[in-house]
Amino acid sequence: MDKIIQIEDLYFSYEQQWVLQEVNLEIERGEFAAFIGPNGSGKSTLFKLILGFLKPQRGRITIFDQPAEKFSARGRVGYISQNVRDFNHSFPATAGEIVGANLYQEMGFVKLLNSALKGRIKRALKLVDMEDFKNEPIGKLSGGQKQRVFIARTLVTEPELILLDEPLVGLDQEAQKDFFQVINQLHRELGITIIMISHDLHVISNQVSRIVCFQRGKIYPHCASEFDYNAYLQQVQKEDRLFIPSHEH
Amino acid sequence: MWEIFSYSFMQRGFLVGNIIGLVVPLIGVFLNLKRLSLIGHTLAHVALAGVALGIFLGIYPVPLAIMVAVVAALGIEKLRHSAYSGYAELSLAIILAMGLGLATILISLADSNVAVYSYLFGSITLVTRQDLMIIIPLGAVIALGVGIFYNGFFFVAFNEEEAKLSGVPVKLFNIIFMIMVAMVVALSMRIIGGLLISSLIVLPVAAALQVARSFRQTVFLSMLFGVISVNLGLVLSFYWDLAPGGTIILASVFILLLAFLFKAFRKMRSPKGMIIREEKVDYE
Repeated sequence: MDKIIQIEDLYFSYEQQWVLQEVNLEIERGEFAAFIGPNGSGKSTLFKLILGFLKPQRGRITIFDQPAEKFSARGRVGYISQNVRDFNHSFPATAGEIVGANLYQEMGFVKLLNSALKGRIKRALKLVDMEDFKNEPIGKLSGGQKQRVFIARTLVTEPELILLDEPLVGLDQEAQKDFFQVINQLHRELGITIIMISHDLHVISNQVSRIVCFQRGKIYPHCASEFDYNAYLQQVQKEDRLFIPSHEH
Repeated sequence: MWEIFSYSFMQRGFLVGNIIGLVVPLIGVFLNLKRLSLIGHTLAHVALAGVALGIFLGIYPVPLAIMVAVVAALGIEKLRHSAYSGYAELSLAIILAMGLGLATILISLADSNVAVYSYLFGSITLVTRQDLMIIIPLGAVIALGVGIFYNGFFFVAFNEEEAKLSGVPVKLFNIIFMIMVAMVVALSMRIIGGLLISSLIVLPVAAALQVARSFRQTVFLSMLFGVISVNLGLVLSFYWDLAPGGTIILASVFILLLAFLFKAFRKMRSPKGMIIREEKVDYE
């Protein structure tokens, strides 16, 4: 299988405390993985490291066979951050305009949309079943519909990998169901590799093909079930009692 | 009726006025959406210090006003992202105070209240050939700049963090944009006056936000409302012998009121909140 992310012996700290330690993980093409763990367990930090926004103190991350910090083909990776919905909801932009913004890198020096790029906006919205809403103001859409637009914004660059940071926060049950329908379709039909962060094991366990557990900066790459997850949490807690924090750069 | 166009000072006034009427709201759209609508007020006060310095030195003050405003705009940008990130309005207040303090001293040194007054409240009759030589090319540069960077500015205004993640050079764009803002403010002082610039930055955009259904429409309508306000204001000021800055602003207030009415009327015709797939109402 084609490994698109390889993480070897990774350590990362913000200040005095290790946020991630001894992380080894491989993600293969076509996987639908979930990063599960409580707040502050290092999930979002690992996303930022994978995307090259942060640099590890120790260890190595490669993404599409390139070191993460030097990875330049941004369009191959889609990222929907935790703060994606932190915007002015009365901003006067349509769903189509929001999706088109992500084509910035492909617009050339004079940053205008040509007909080929406009076609891609239409296709991206169609993939999430939002083509009828292309000209609707973003603020008029429901939470679930906004989520679809942000997924379309990621799809417009035709990514092979999508990273979703807490995409279910703020969505009701119906919108969550709706979200998984879209994501599963992208995963199955387009073969896009997907990694999503969640702290709710129950919601995602039936949806994803693999669960990676996080607890206090350590990971367990193959959490098959809730039993595994709980056992892992307990194990880390036990280790923590013996663990003396160290800080090496 | 056409008497108004027979005066060369009015011809110059209309030419400059229309450039300002287009460019100020164009920049204003992005400023308002970045929640920096009062930047015009701040930069105008700082630019006033440049004007006073020019008068004091006995030279044409507009280039000095532009230079001082650009430095101040870059100062605001720096403060907004470093010492006072999250308190954008504080960076405006600090630069405003500095500019006004400096302007007060320079005005007292310049000892030419009439000239300073014309930059505070604007004066159509004082638009000179020299003003045209600087306002026309710089106006064109600003319009062209926004045209080229339109999509980048849009993304940054929508969500700065997300734009950064998508590879938009946010810092560079913010600097280029702030330089444009400073230029626009300094150029507009001549015709609408430093005290009234922020009104032309805010009012046409506020009206467009009530009516527009997309970002592109917001930009287009803001510029249209800006141009209508300027032309209506200039005509009224000529025939009723009033200060053009005041008539231009009141014309844009009138357009804003019409926009409120239009929105209320549209709401009455299509009562709906959130769009639901089955009940989608076509606005067009």
